[in-house]
Amino acid sequence: MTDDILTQRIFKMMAQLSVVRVPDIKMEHRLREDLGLDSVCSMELLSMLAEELDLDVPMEEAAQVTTVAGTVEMARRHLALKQAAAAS
Amino acid sequence: MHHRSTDQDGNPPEAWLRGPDCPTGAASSLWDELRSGDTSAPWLIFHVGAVRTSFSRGEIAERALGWAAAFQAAVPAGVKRVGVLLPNSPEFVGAFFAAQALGAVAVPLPWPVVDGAPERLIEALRPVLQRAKLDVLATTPGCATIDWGAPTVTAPLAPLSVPNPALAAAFMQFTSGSTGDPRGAVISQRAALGSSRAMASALQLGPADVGVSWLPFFHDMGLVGVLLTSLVARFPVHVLRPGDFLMRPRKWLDLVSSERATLTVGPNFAWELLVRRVNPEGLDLSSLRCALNGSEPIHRTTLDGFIAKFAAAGFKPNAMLCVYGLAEATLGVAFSVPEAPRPDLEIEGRAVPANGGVLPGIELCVADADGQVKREGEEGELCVRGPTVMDHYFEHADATAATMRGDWLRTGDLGVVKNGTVYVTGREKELVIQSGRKFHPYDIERVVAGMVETTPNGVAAVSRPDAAQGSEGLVVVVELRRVSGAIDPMLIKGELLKVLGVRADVIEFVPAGTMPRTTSGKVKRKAVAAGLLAAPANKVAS
Repeated sequence: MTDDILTQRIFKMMAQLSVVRVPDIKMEHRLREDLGLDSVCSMELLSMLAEELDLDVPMEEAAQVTTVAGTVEMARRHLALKQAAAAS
Repeated sequence: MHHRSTDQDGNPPEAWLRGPDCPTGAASSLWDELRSGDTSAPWLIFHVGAVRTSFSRGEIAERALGWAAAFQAAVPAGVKRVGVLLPNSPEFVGAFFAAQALGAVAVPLPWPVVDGAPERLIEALRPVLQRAKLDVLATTPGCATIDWGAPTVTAPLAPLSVPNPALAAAFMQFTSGSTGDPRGAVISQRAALGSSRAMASALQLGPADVGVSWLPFFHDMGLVGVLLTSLVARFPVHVLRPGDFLMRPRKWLDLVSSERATLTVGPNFAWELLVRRVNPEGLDLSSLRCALNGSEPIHRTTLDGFIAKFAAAGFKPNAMLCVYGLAEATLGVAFSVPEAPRPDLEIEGRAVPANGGVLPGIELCVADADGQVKREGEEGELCVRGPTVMDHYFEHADATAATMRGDWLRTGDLGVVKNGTVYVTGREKELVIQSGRKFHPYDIERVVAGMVETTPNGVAAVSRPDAAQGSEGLVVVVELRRVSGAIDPMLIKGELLKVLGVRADVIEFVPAGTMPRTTSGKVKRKAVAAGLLAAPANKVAS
């Protein structure tokens, strides 16, 4: 998956849970203040993301994510881990 | 509370229910209960990732003594109130029972689901910390770097022996995390034990049962409903943290399935989340006898959705039990039980699920604003008395006076009694409940009024049902001084999340003069809510 496709998928998911539309989402946005997600909603976002991409993200790590960029970065890192595990 | 003066023939009986006596036991304090009998059986099994750690009552008591020694060292003059700011962990339970060992009052404080900076945490908790007058705070090393206004203790030291504590208050339950006017319900040893025993007795819980729970221990349903009920009924509980469930909803049901659990608990939104997100394939829920749904309004669609979807996993429809309680009554007031399913009540075309009969020790009546008891089938405020009702709100005479009418607790909830069954139909008290967390409209309105140029008392925060989330939505109506004064609703939503952690679904701006008010100029929130259900007129922007 290219970075662009990954980012777009994540933005789409964010738009589903928040009131912000995809074209208005920016990397520097904060999940809480800018997208309007409360703690339950932002955990649900990360949970759905992990499920859709079949990633094993520990709860402690997900609880640290507070921005759009952080979400994308978390997904990217775990996709790379998964690919490395599959290759070995 | 007064009875009707004359009782004419043909009228329904008064809406007044009395449960059997509250069960008693040998132990008269939580600390005695923890250490009585054989204390070596597994009690709490904590699951963190793939790691499970099991603790018996004896091991928890040892931890508690370690914490108690540390508290005494930190406050040589004597510990009266202990704040417990910890996630679901052996540390939380140890610190909670350390307070019991010292005869002090435990004050559980809300631990956040999403990690934030400790500075933000203390900002949100400041009003509670000020009201609670803590002598010492048990927390994690990360949070101990902050000035809390009381010494912090982060790790248990060497065990010591302490004298049997005086029978006093067991804990203080703050009913809403971050409010400008926090209320701490003071729960006695008798109430704590009585409420737990009443629930165990109604559900016939015993050592053969197995519990699974992700509810936070600082919340009344997690603390009394899970921790203390399993303590008195002597059954093991598998413990997750709220974040574990939110991150992997299936983990909850996986544990129920693998541990052959008989009891689990959650607010309505959590059951709705399972319906939305979890595939029943590979699950075996046939062991579940008690699946409790409580602590926020219950949706019939959620109950039906869960029963239909998880029938494939062997879930028994009779196991889905609607329960009603509140922190001011320690916890349980009315419980459904598997053996006696009760029908819904139709009110204005809406199906209201039955909350069952009253628990042992509980006396309940439906009354009007003057304390006149209503008849069966009539809606009114649910009022409760009995040995599990709180003593008072800690150092808050006004709030206590407004809530207690003699020994009767005014719950602020609306309901109906019919055929010995309690139905919760709505709320007199103007609270917003999201995912089981309670928010006071006043706090929400204060934050918004600080951001927008409004008319005096020009903000109304009201809840509305949100069937999709299985919870409640929040609508904030803002009356503008000038029509041009509207600001980006996202700014308001973001600020509410930052300051209070509450999610506003709609921000509606209306022109001056359109907000329903009392003659003294206060906003009529109920009229605002009713207006939202009708056509939203006079809308400036949303």
